Amino acid sequence: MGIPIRQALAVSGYLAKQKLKGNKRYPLVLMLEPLYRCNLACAGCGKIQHPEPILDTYLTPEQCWDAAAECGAPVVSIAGGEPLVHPQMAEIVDGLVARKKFVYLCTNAILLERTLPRLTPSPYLTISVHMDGMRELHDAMVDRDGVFDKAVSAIRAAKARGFRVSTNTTVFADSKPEQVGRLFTFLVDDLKVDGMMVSPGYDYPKAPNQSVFLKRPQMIETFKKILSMPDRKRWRFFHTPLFLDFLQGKQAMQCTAWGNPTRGVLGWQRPCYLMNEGYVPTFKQLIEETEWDRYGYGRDARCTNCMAHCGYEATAVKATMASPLEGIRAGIGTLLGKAS
Amino acid sequence: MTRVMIVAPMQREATALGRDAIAIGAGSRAAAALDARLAEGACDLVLIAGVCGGLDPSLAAGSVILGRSLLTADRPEIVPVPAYYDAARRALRRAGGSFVAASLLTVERPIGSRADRTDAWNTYGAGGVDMETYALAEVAVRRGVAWLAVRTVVDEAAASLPAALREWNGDTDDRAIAREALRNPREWLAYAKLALSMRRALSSLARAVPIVARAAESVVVTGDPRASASLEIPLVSAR
Repeated sequence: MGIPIRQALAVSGYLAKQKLKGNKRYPLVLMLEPLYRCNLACAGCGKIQHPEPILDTYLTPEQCWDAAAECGAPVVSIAGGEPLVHPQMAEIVDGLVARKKFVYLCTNAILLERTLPRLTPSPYLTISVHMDGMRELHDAMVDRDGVFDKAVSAIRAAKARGFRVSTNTTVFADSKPEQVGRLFTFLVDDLKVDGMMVSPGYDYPKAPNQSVFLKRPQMIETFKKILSMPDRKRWRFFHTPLFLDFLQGKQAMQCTAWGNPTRGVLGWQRPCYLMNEGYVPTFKQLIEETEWDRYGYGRDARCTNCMAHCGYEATAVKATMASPLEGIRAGIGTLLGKAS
Repeated sequence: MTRVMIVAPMQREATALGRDAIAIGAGSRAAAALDARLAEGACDLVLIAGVCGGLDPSLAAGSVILGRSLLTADRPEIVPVPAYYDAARRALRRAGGSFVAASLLTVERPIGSRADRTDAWNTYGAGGVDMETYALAEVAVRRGVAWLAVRTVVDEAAASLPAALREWNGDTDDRAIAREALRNPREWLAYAKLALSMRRALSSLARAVPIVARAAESVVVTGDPRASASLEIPLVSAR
C-alpha cells in the first residue's frame, strides 16, 4: 500500500475496533475544508465558486480540532480552497498532530516555502502537493505559469527540512498516459517524494472547463496504460493495491461516501466531498440522517463518472481488511515501500 | 386504484410471493407469456418480481433492488412511470428495510464469472442482472401498461456461478442441474452457498413485493390507465 507503517497499523487498529463495536458506518478520513478561498482557479475545480462572503469565512483552529474529535477519523486531509491561505494553518496542523491524527496538508505549494518555517516535521504530518503533470500540463491545468517550478522548489525545500512529502495528481482528459508516467518517475526519482496519490477528476458541474473530464470507460483505459508502464514498479503510491486495481477496471467497487466525511465552513457537507446537497450541523446527523443507499455508481447519475479516491479508497481499505490475501498484499507494499 | 399484476419468472419465486403472483416463465419464454396475459386486459401495472445476480459489489445476498431503469445491450434504457416508481420508493423507505434503487441489466445467458461481472458493472452500472426484466417491461409498454421491477440478489458480485448454472436458461430443469451438481463434488460448497443465498433472496422478495404492490395500487390514475404507461407523459399522480 505504500503508506507509512505507523499509519497502516493505526488505521488497521481503528478498523478492527469499529468492527468489534459493530459500527456499520464510520469515517476513515476527515476531509477538512477550513476555507474555500484559493489563490488559483484550476480548470477542474468545483470548490471555489462560492460567493465572496463564504470565501471570506474561515474555520477557526478550535472548530477544526472539534470536527476531528467529533468524527473520530484517524486521518485528516486538509483541503479547501488553498489551506496555506489560512493565517492559522500551522496552528491547526499542530493541534491535529497533537491529537495524534495523521494529517495530509494538501496544497498547491505556491505559499509552501514561506510557510515551512512555521510547520514542524512529524511522522503524523504529510505535506501533499498538487501535481497534475510536468511543467506545461500542470501550469495549463492550474491556469498560471510558473506554478510547477514553484511546487518543485517547495517540495525540495520541504524534503530538505525533514518533512514527509507526497503528491496528489488528478488525471483529466488532457492528461496523456505518457505525460503522467513521466511525472510519476520525476516525482519519485528526482524529487524523492515519499508517496503519490492519483485520482481521476470528478466532473463538477460548476468547474470552469467541462471538457477536461474523462468518462468512466476512458478513465479505465487511461489508468490501464499508466499503471502498466515499465517504471510502475518504482512508483510508490499511498493507495491500497485494490484501489489501483479498481482504477484499471479489474476490481468492481461501490463508493463508500461516508468513509470520507467533509467538514467545511458551512457545516458537514452532504453526501460527500464532491457532491453537495446541503449541510448539517453535526457529524451524527450527517451519518444518521443521510440516505446513503441513494448514492453511488449506478444509483445517482452524478456518480456515473466518479472514480475518485475520496469515495473508493475507503471501500478498498475495508475490502483489504476483510480479505487476508489482500491484507498480505497491502502489507508487503507497506513494508517494501512500493505499490504491489 | 391501480390494478396490479405480479409476475415472477420462476415457479419458486411465484410460490414465495403467494397466490397473487403468476409464474410467467423464465428467460426468453417470459415475454410471450406475459404478452398473452396482457392481451386479456385486466391490469394497469405489471410488477416484475424475482431474484437476480448481483453486479453492485456492495449488495449482499438478499438485498432488494427497485428498478430505477432497465438496460440491455444495444437497446435504449427504459424507465418506469415516475409516479409509480416514486410511490414504491417511498413505501420501501417507510417500511424501513434496506433496499437500493438502481438499474437492472437483462442478458441472454447468466454472467457466471467474477471478471465478466466486473466488466458488466463497469459498463452498465446496474445493481443486478437477470434474464427477463427488460423484455417483460417492453411487452408491458407495448401493451400500454405501466411496470415496476423488484429483484433480490442471490449470487453476489464477487461470486462465480457453478459450471452447470452458467449455461442455465428458462428451459433448464432443476433435476438436470442437480444431476450435474452431483457429478462435481468440488462445486458442492458453491451450490450449498447458492441454496442459502436463494433462501435469503426469496425471503427478501416476499417481504418487499407486497409493499411495492400496495404502493402501486394506491396510486390514483387520473387519465386513461393505458395511456398512463407512456414513459414520456405519465398521466398518474400519487395519492
